[in-house]
Amino acid sequence: MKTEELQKYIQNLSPELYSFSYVLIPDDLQASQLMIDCVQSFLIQKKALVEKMGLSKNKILKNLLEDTRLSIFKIVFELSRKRYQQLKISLSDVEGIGGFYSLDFDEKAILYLKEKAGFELETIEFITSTTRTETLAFLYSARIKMTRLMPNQDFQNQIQSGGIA
Amino acid sequence: MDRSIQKLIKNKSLMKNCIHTKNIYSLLDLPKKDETYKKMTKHLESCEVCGREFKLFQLKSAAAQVFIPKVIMDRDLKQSFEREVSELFKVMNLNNREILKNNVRSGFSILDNMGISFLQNLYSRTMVKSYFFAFAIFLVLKFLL
Repeated sequence: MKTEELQKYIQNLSPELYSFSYVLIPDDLQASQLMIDCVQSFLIQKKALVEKMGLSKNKILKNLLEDTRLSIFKIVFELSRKRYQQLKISLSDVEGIGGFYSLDFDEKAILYLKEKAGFELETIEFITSTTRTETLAFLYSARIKMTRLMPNQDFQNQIQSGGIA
Repeated sequence: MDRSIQKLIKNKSLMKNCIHTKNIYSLLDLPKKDETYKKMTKHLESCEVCGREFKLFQLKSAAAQVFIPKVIMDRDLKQSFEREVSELFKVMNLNNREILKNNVRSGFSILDNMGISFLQNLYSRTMVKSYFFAFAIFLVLKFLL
């Protein structure tokens, strides 16, 4: 495998990385900068591995690209958590509107990874460095908060009667 | 009057609680292979309260998915990200040519070091002693034979 392939693979990851970054830090410039920083951090961490990739060609592990994807997601989560604390005040406008963005940081991340990114629980645990119980607890509380977003009682009744599924 | 009694009875039955109701919500996220999932599914079949509660929660969660955003990336942002990534690969010398160059260089430096250490060994004290010793043996053998 050539490193050019890895480069292209990372470049193609941009839509899903951006979406995840934006969910965690709802600011387009911050989110795009976060993505670049994460790729840089990944390359620094795994430089030796990437160098081997360039030479070993077909002798690499089958899941190496998938590992790359998950590692970058993990770094996005870790870096954004630090930045979120620093940017919290400037993000309060978006969070103040309510809805999904008003959820706690971990709840947002875990719910997004489960529902939109479609990751398995094990993968989410790896990305967020949480235990199974913690992940389930975050998912539960996020879901409860999200169900409260239903606009009005009529809507609730419609759901109850099976009108919306 | 009858209606109100019926309503009351219905409400009372709705108010029935089950200690497992809270745990039943985790069914949405647990993998089907999980032991807890199997236990909960069994319980769900027999408990009316949990069954109703879970169905409602499931419907609500499905409807609430609309509120989870999937942000679409701007084309300009995508292009600038791609540029930055290729720049990073260049700066960090992670192109195949660069890697090959570095490996060749490191290979030659190993050879260089080996050569230097070989030469250094030739002039080391131990080697000089062994030269004298060999020369002495040579002289002795020459006189004897």
